[in-house]
Amino acid sequence: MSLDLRNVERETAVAQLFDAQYLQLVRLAALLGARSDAEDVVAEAFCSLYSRWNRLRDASAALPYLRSCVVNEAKMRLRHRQVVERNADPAVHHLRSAEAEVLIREVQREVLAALDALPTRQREAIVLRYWMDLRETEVAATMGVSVGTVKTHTSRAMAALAARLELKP
Amino acid sequence: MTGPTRKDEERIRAVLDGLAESVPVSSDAYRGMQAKWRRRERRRRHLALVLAAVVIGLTVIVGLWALNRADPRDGVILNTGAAHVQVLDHGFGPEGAAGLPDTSSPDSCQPNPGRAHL
Repeated sequence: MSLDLRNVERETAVAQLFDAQYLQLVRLAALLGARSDAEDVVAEAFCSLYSRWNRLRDASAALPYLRSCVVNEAKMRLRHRQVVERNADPAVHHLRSAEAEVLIREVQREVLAALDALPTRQREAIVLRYWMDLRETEVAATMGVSVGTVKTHTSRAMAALAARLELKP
Repeated sequence: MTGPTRKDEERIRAVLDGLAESVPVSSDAYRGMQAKWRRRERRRRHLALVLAAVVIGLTVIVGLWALNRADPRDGVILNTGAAHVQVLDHGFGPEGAAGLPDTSSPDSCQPNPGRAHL
């Protein structure tokens, strides 16, 4: 197959994936903590997919690959932001947080606070399992861990969330 | 520690849905993204070309340096000229009278044993 034809095929496949999955992936990135730069996270994932398209096992591996990229990139940015916020001026941080908080409703704020309090892995497991409705094997593949680890993270996170949300009904 | 109930799960799911729907998404994201990945692809190809050129250039320079440095009587690439002379010296010198091979024995028709060392 000629190089041009392969490029056209790749462009088409990525464009189709973009149409079908972009919104959900942006939301996934936002739920994983990359709220302000969720679109950048997904853009990185698509760029990565585009450059590695020929190395994919088959076309059906593209979506799991995108999900993994989003999860990893969101985690990286979250860690970076935590370091920046730790070293930033607390007044500025408080101001930015207040602006962001106005945008979300009261009920959501509680859950968001509860989600933010979870360790990163537990948060990923909860979002992938309950919001994306992925099977445990898919969650494990996306996070790069075993199914047993996913079960542990999920049950611990659910217990922590339930306890925290019951304390503040 | 009690496990999460189905009600807890439903509640978490509902709130996560609500949170997800409040995430703003720009409408012209595809165009920007496409430009980005095409730019990266172009840069990657340019980098690959430059690397290939550098490798080839270095190989040529090293090859020329090796050829230039070698003794012209030694075969650097093809081991023919000087080696052949050596064989002839080895074959004719000590064995034959006046530098000529001894043709009286049947072995003399065989290839020179000195060549076996090559």
